Amino acid sequence: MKAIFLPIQLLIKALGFKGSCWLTLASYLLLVAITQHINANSLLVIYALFLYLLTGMGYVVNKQLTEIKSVIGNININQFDHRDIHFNSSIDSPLIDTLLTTYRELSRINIHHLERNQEVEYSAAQVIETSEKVKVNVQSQSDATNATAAAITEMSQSLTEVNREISNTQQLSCQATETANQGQHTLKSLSQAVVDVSEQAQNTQQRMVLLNKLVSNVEGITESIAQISQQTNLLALNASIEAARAGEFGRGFAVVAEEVRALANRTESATKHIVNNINDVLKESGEIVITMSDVVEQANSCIDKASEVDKAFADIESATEQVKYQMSIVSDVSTQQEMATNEISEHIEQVVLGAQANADIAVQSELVANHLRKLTKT
Amino acid sequence: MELMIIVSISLAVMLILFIGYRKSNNNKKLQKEGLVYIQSIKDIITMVQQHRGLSSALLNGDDSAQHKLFVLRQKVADQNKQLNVSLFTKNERWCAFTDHWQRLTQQNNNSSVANSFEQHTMMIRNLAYLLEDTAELSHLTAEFIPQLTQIGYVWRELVLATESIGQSRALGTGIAAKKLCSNVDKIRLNFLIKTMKNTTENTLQHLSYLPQEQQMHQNLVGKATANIAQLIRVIEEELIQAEKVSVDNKSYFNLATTTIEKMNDIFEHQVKQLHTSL
Repeated sequence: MKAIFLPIQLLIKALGFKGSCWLTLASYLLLVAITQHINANSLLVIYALFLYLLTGMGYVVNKQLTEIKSVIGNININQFDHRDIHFNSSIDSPLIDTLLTTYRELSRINIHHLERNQEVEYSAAQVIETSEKVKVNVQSQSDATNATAAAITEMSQSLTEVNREISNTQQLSCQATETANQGQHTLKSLSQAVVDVSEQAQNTQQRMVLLNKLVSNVEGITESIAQISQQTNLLALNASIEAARAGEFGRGFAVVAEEVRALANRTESATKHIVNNINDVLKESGEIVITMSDVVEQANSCIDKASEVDKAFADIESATEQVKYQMSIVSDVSTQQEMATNEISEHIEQVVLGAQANADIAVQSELVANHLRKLTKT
Repeated sequence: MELMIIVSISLAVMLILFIGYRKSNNNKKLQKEGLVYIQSIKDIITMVQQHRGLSSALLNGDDSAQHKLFVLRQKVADQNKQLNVSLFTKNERWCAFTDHWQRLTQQNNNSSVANSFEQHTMMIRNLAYLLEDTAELSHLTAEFIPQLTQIGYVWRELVLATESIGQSRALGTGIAAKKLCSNVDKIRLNFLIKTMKNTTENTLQHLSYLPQEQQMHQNLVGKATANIAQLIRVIEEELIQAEKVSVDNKSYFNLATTTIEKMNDIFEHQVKQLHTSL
């Protein structure tokens, strides 16, 4: 059949479908015009030619319709590429051109959508990857924040302890200041007492010197007494001699003289004894003077030491006051820190809650992205 | 009378042969004219791609692009005049492009980087489809040129693959100018890399060639593949993976431009083979 109508196809190829139709019509008109002027055989040939043209045109039209149906039926809906459509178009119909143009545009829209889908799919994959990272990061952040919150809670508790200890220390430093004050007062009293002792020791020393002088005077008097006693003894001896010369008349006088001499001897003996005692007294008083000098020296030394101790107490008091002041500042700062750490702890708890919410959101995002990818794949 | 019939039939046959011959000649003329139009459209696409890259650089703070943009606009205007022929005056895609281009150039770089990129990309895609339409209307398809069975890849895939590289040039130049690659930029660049890899693995391998042009064709494809690989490596290492973008925007622009030129060389070679075949 194809071979029979090959000339018709060549005709259409050369003249186009419309041209071929016009040729068929022209041959028919020619046939009508010359029917009366030609013989039967020629007429038969022309009729046969006309019928051939007519049947061939019908065949070609039918073939084109079958081909269009076949091409449309064989369209690859997955690739949807208009270049795959090859019409062996013999009919120059605008319908076919419009169909091809429409298909070409649809093909481009399809390619555009496919590219978009690929891009969406790729983007979704990236979103999933990012969500995974976010999830891991948020989880890590959540863990770290939990640990931080716990650490801060511990720190807060520790700060409370520190604050309490600081309060205790402050109280103790107050007590230390008070004790230092008392010590300073006591030391001042002690110092005053030592000064008194020193003064009294100096008085005693002076009096001992005076006493020594008096004893020396007594010694002089005693020496005078001893001389008087020696003179008296000598006089008594002279009186005895004189009494002896007087004989009986002097006997009574001799007795008196003897008694006077004995008295003088006893006086001399007593004087010697007094001298000895005075010497002992002088010796002792000399030692006492030396001792009192040492006492004064020691007392002065004590006063110096007491001054130093007083200064040390003053320094202690000053230092304790400073410590008290600084402890007061530390206590205030510590209280503020405690409040701040409590606040931080509360905030971090909020952050933990936020991070947990973020982790949930990230999981949800991942699910959405997965869903998106599934949608673009279908 | 019989003689008249024989003469009429003979005249009809001669008329048929004459019309057939004329039709064949018209087809060749149509194809040759079509090639001229295609080359003009391709030149405009190349210039609009350059305009997109330079606009991106300018909007990202590179003022040195201003003068180049001005020169490029003049070139596009001149090229547009050449294409204002009857074939295009009523063509929807061509009218859409000229109107869009006029509006874009009147904006005087007041749009955002993203908007400028989007506008240029839409215009280029429109021009790419216009190029393919022109090729088909000019019978420059495998159906009419049996020597080059995959000529359709030249009009679509090769042009769009070059456009992918052009997009990476515009994006990358902007990123290199502002020294910052956002997550969205990374996603888009990664997608473009995927497209570029597809180009080297599929599109370039599918292109047909005349037997006598095989060596030249393979040589051009090899160079383009190497350049694309280098561009992909720079995008990955210097833009996507780098903690801080340090690549110079001019050197990046030059690298991407060289890659586009290699792709254009393949296009020109395919056109040259078409001329030989016609």
